[in-house]
Formats: sequence, structure tokens, C-alpha cells
Amino acid sequence: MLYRNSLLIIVGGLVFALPITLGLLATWLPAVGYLPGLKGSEFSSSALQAVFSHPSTYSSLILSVSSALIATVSAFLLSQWLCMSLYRSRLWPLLKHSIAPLLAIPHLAFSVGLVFLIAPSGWLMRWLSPTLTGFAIPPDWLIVNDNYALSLSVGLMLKEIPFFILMTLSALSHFDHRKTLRIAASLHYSHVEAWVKLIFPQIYSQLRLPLYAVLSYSLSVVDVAIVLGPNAPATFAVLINQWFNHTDIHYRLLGAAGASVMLMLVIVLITLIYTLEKYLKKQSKQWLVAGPKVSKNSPIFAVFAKITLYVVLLLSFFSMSSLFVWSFSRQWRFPDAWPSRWSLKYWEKSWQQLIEPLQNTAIIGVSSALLALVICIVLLQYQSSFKIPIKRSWWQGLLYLPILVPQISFLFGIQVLLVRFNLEGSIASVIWVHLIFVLPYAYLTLSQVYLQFDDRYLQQAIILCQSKWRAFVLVKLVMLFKPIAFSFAVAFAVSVAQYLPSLYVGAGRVNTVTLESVALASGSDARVSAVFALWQFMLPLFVYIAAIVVPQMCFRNRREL
Amino acid sequence: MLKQGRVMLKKTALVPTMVAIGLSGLSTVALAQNDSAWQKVLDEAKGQSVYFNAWGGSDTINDYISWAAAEVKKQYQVDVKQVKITDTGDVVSRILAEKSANRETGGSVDLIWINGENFKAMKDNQLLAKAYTQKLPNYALVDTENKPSTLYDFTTPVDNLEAPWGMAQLVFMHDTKHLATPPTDMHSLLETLKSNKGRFSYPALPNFHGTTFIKQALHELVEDSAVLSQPVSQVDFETVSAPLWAYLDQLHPLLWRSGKSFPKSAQQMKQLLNDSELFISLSFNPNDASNAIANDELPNTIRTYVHKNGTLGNTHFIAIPFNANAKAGAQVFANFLMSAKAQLKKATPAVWGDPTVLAMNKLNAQQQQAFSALKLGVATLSSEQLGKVLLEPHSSWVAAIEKAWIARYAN
Repeated sequence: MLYRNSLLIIVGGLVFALPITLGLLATWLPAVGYLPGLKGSEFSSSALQAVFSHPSTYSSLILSVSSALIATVSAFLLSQWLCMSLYRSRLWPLLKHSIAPLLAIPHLAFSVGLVFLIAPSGWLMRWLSPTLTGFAIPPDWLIVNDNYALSLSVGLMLKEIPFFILMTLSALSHFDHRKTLRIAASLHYSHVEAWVKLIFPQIYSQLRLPLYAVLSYSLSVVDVAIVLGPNAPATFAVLINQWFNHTDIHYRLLGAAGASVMLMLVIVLITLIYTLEKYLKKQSKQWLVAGPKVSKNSPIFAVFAKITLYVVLLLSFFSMSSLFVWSFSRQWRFPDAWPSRWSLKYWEKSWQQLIEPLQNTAIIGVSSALLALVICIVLLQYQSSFKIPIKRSWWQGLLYLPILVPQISFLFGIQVLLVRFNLEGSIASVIWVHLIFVLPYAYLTLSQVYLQFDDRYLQQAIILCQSKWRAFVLVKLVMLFKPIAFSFAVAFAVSVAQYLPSLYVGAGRVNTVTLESVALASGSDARVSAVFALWQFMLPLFVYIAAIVVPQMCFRNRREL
Repeated sequence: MLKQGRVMLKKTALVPTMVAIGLSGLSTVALAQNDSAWQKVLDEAKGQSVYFNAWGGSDTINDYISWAAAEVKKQYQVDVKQVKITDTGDVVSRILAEKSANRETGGSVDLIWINGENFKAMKDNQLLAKAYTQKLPNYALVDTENKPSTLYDFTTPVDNLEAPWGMAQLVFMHDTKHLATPPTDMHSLLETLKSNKGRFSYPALPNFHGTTFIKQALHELVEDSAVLSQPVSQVDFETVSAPLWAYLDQLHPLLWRSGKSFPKSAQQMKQLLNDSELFISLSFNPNDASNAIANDELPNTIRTYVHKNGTLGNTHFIAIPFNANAKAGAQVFANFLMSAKAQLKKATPAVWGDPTVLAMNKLNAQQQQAFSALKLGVATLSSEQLGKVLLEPHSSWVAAIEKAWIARYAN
């Protein structure tokens, strides 16, 4: 046991803690002015001072904090609202089945599609014009890239709702919520009240980490913020990225200092939310246990939830559809509702350009997802055989570190280190860095179901076949095939969407579909951007479909699975 | 070729043993020496993989690079791979990271598409390989006499550290469907926008095209544009730039989204021009509009124009980093890109339409004819119409302008 424990510590440490710690350190050094190779580099606090004396910093910070908080909190609340109001309703299956395709849409592809849809010259306006609006030319309205980062907040919110729903469903499967709800109903709790007072407190501990992860992601996201966010000034993450890429190399120091400020910001915000959570918990204790107060359900709740679900689904659907139409267009001018000339040219061309990136993306995605699953299963098997409760497993902190610490705050450092050891630019290093980001999601999606598995099946199997391994593989893994396949799909999708890690570690030699998409999105020929965004979407979509269809085909005769 | 031989004579240390040989004989020997030196590079380059880090935001440019890569593969067995980057600064940063890790060889970048500030940054931090362009046979064809920007990159001396690849000049594009008469200078631009509010903008700084537009405005608005060739530290920036800010304060409320948000790039502006969100856009490639019309990215109502007192122009280059892994291969590719064949293809409007860096009088009759036979696109100005090319201000102006702009409009 002790031996096993130390083995896990070593593995966990090598894979996660070490690179992040070193990456952070290697970012902090330039933040305090030390970057060998740069003329006039010496220790000082001037980089930090420069960050705070930069005219854009304060507004950028406010934009980042407000958009991240609005996106995270509203996505979280709406996801809870949807789960609560639509639970076991007619729309429940729709809600459950729409999660996979929604998760498969990469953030970047979604943002590009959303702009094509809602911009003043977007598809919506093209449908309405000129008949309904009278516009022969697009109105000069500030819809996307607004100065309050509202379009960014909405875009991020729409994209995070399905993730929170997935996490909520997974948390619900952790205990017998049906029984809880039945008993509550018999005690005259309304559905809403039962949910808020009895269900939510039980699932929240499982949602805390996803909540923090989404907050950290929203604060530090670069690609989506470039597409949807404001630019005069931009959000803080974009500003940091500009500093890292600035023509004057001395801005690297500013970038590193900014990245460190970003980390502090994430820590402060998470601490604040945690404190708020504790405070609310204390304040609501009386109320939570005071028993039922309202016995009638208000129909407004359900209507609002239905509308929300449809809005999310329709916006996602039409965003992707607008990409689809643009990708086949040759000429499409405002206010035509459809392209005036169509073409297959951009698809044909992309195929030649993308063979290598597609191969790389697939290899990196499959390898990092498979490795992540193997590590997850080892950890979970260890956890379940020693009956370690989820909360107290020490590796959780380590596992989630990569998605809690903003990427931008340590990737520059990781790049410096990999270069030092001559390891960057190889597909193996890219797989390894992806693994760091993929593993937490694999663990998040698999752990509940895995730990809940009734090990009596396994014991029975061991008795019958006399082999621990055979029993484990043929019974436990096969019975868990469906969730494992789904977890693989999530992990794969996360890998496909990685932009900064592939950029910093691949050294331009390991080209992926996402790198190509962002490179072309910077060029903004709508037709080419659309084709590449769709490619970026198709890989994960294909894997999600496979993850759902393959287990179904395998278990055609075993309906109970 | 004779001329090239003489140049080589100065640079090589053959002189002591060659004293007795006559001048013409000597230059032939030097030429042969040069040839064999180049042959050595060609031999060494065979089979090398060259990672060419070039901005990947334009499909037409990417296609051209693929074509050039296929050509050198065929002719010289050099394998060129384009690393499509979004920002050249990114690559400079990576090379810097390599330098700070003491990686003197085996760097990840073999060749980089570069100019202006990025070049200056690399030069100042010794991130470039030693001077190489004088060794390339095709460098002799470059029009260094009439195109001073091939020798001074935004006023920074090139010193043979980067090979000229193409010429750029700031041009504007307007949609004649919505705007029949284009502005002729910054003041008439303001007047035009008063009746076409919201139909022009420029990318937010530090975007390259945005900075260029501001430099153009500064050039037109300062009392004496001669001050711009001095380092900014030697002039009173506040006073000199005051008319610029006064102008922009007037201009911004008339811009797209009332100047509260800016386009991300000149490429996005092209898309916005197609969508009729904008009536005027800008580009650094005089052939951009024709090229975009040819592939239906823009309607055929788009035309190009320049301001009456000239617009800024410069040269874009390719450079080899100090620690490049395939220096020979990179030189072979750079040499090919400067060849008459590659430059002609590049100047073809339907391909890319990027103006050549070569001097017509240094080409043979057949090549000259091929260049003069190039049909200008419908929306391309002739070189007379393009008018005067204004030289870029001293490179120190960019940082000062950018800082002042951000403090005023992005805080």
C-alpha cells in the first residue's frame, strides 16, 4: 500500500506537478526581469510595474473578470435550471442526447459560426433583409466584439452549458436521486424545492471543480476572445498574448509578468467564490432543513427552461449551419439569404492541405486520450479497491491542477524548458502536453460511473474464471465500455481543441487542424475559415458518434448494459 | 554575371595568388569560385528539410508557397515545409527562447518571412544567421538601385541579413457601387465619411496594417515630414504628432462601430468590404483587389486608389535564424524565390500579384517580355497611377505611435 502510494506520487508528480511547477517558475523568472538571451536582462520589478502602468491593463482586467464571471455563473445557473426544470420531462431525452454533439463543437469553430450568424452582416440579418428590415447594406451595429465583452460572455456561456449539464448528470448518478425526489414529493416538497434543498447540495461538491475549471478557462481563453471579444482594449489574456508576440522582444517580460498576474487573478477569484460558497452554506443551513414551504410548481420555470434549451440548441445548430453554407459558397453578398454562387473548391483544396494536420491531430488525440484513460482506470481501480472516497483522494488536486491553472501562465515556461532539453517540436512532447490537459476531463467524466460499479460482478467473475485479469477485462471493463468510450470521446475532443499547447510545444513542426484553423481565421476569408472550422468540428463529432454507436452495436443482445 | 564576379572578388581572399592574372581572367576565376561555392551549398542542401515560418492567413499566398516548395523539391531535392503562423512575433519569441537555452544549432526555424520591427528585433538581439544574400546568385538581379527599401528595411540597414522577396505599397480599395469617388487624402477621407458614416475603419494597433494607416496619416498631417526619418527620441513627439491625434479624434466617431471596436486585420476588412459593412478598405498589396475579384472574394465593383501625395511602401524579406538547422536548404529556397521564374509567378494577379523586387534591366529579353506581358487586373493601378512611394518613418516611431494610440483609444 505504501509502495503503491509512493509509485502513484512519483507518476502523478512527473506527469503533472513537475511540468506545471517548472513551467510556472520558468514564466516567473522573466516576470521578474530575467530572460537570458535578451539584451539588458536583469532581475527587477520593472516588468510588473510596466504591466500596471500599461494604459490597457485596468480596463482589460475588468473586461476579463466580468466576462469570465458572467459566462461561468450564468452557464452554471442555467445548466442547473435546465436539469431541474426539465428533469424527466418530455424534453429530458433531448437534453441528454444533445450533450454529445454540443460538446463536440470546438470553442473556436462555435465562435466563428456564431459571428457568421449574429453579426450585422450575418445570416440572421441576411434572412430578414431587405424585406423585413429594409436594409440594403448591413447596419452599423456593435453586436460582436462589443466594448463590454457581452458577446464574448454569451458565446462562452453557450459553450459551457452542455459541459455543466454533463457534469450534473454524472453527479446525479452518484446517488439515488430518484428515491430522494420520491420521498421529497411524498413530504410535499415541490419539485423545485426538492431540487434546490435536497438534490443540489448533494451534487454541488461534484460540480465545484468543473465550476472553477470553467472560470479559469474563461478568464484565460485567447482564441475565442480574439473572435468574439472586444479589441480596444482586448481582454487581459489577449493582451498578454499580444505582449508575448510583440515585435519588441522586451515585451516578453511584460507578457511573463502579465501571465503571473493572470494566475494571481484566478487564485483570488476562486478563493472568493469558495468563500462565498461557504458563507451561503452557513446562511442557508436553517432554510435548507426547514422542510417544504411551497408545494406548487410554477409553470413559468418549465417554460423558461424550455425556451433556454431551444435557444441554446438553435443557436448552436445555426452557427454550425452558417459555417456549412459558407464552406460551399463561392460568392455570398449581403443581403442574399443564400450564396449567389456555390463551389466545392475550398473543400477540395483543404483536403490536400489537411492530410498531414489531420493525421497529426488524430494521432495526438487518440494517443493522449488512450493514455489518459489507462491512467484514469489505474487510478480509479486503485481508488475503488481501497474504497477511498472521492473527496479525500490526494491526487485529485494534482489531476485538476492543469485545468485550474490558466494555460497562458505556464506554457511559455514549458516552452523555454522543452527548448533547453531539446524536446520541443516532436509529436511525443505534444502528446505529453495534451495528456496533461486531457486527463482531468477523462477523470471528471469517468470517475463517478467507475466508482459506482458494483464490484460484486467482478468478484463473481473472478470466482468463475479464476483469473483476476480476465475477470477485470472481460467483465468490469466490458460492462463499463459505454462510459469509457464516452470518456474517450470527451478526452479526444479536448485534445483536438488545444491551441496554445500545440503552438508552444509543437514549435510549428507538429501541425494540427486547430493550428491551421486559427492561422486561417486570422486571415478571415470566410469560406476558408468555414471549411477549416468544420474540419475541426468533424473529428470530435466522428469520435463522439463512434463512442455512442459502437457500444450500442456491441451490446445489441445485452440490453441491460 | 561579370558584375557579380567583381563583387565576389572584393569579398574573397584570392588576391595574393592571383596578382599575375589579368582582370578578365581573374573575374572568370572568381566567378568559377563563386559557382563552386554555390554548388557546394546546393550539394549540402540536397535532402534537407526547410521549415519556412510564414504567415498563413492567406490562402492564395499559401498556395504560392506550396508551388515554390514543389519546384525546389523537383529542381534541388530540398524539402520545404511551410509552418503557417498567425504572428511573426511568435516565431521571434521561439527563436529567442532557443537562444536563451543556448541552442546554437538545430533550431526549429530555418527560414522566416519578416520585415520592419521584427527584423530589427532579430538583428538587435543577434538572432540572425550571418550575412548570406550576397552569396545567392539571384540576389544580383534585385533592383537595389531604384528600390531603396530593399537595402533599408524600415530604415534599419539590411546588411545582407535578409533576402528581398516582394514589394509592398499601401493602397486603398473602395466599392464603386456604394462610393463612386474615392477620397484623395486624409482630409477628404474625413469629408467622405461624413456622408458615409461607419463605412471605413482600420485594424486596432498593434496590428501591422493599423500601424501603417496611422503612419500614413502622420506623414500626411505633420508640417514637415522630414522629421519622420529621424529617431523619435530626437524630436518633440508631442508637438509633431499633435495634428495626428486631433485628426483621429475627429475621424473616430465617423468610423465603423463609431470607432468603439476595430477590425482585427486587413483581411477581415476585406471580408467586411465584401459584406458591404465597409465601403473602403486597405491593403499592402497593390494587386490585392484584383486577386480577390478573381477568386470571388470581392465583387468586381471594387477598385484600388492611393492618396494624391503618395503612400507608404516597403519591402518584405526572408531571413535565416542564427541556429537554423538547414541553412543550405534555406539559402537554396531563398535564391529560388528571387529567381525570375518565381518572381514572375508571384507577380501574376491570379496567383498572388505581389510586385517583384527584381530590376527589369538585369533580366534577359525573354524574362523582361514575360513581365511586361503580365496583364494588370481590373482593379490594379499601373505604376504611374500608384504614384509616389513614401519611405517608412524611422523604425523607432512605431513604438511611440503605438503607445500613444493605445493610451488614447484602447484604455
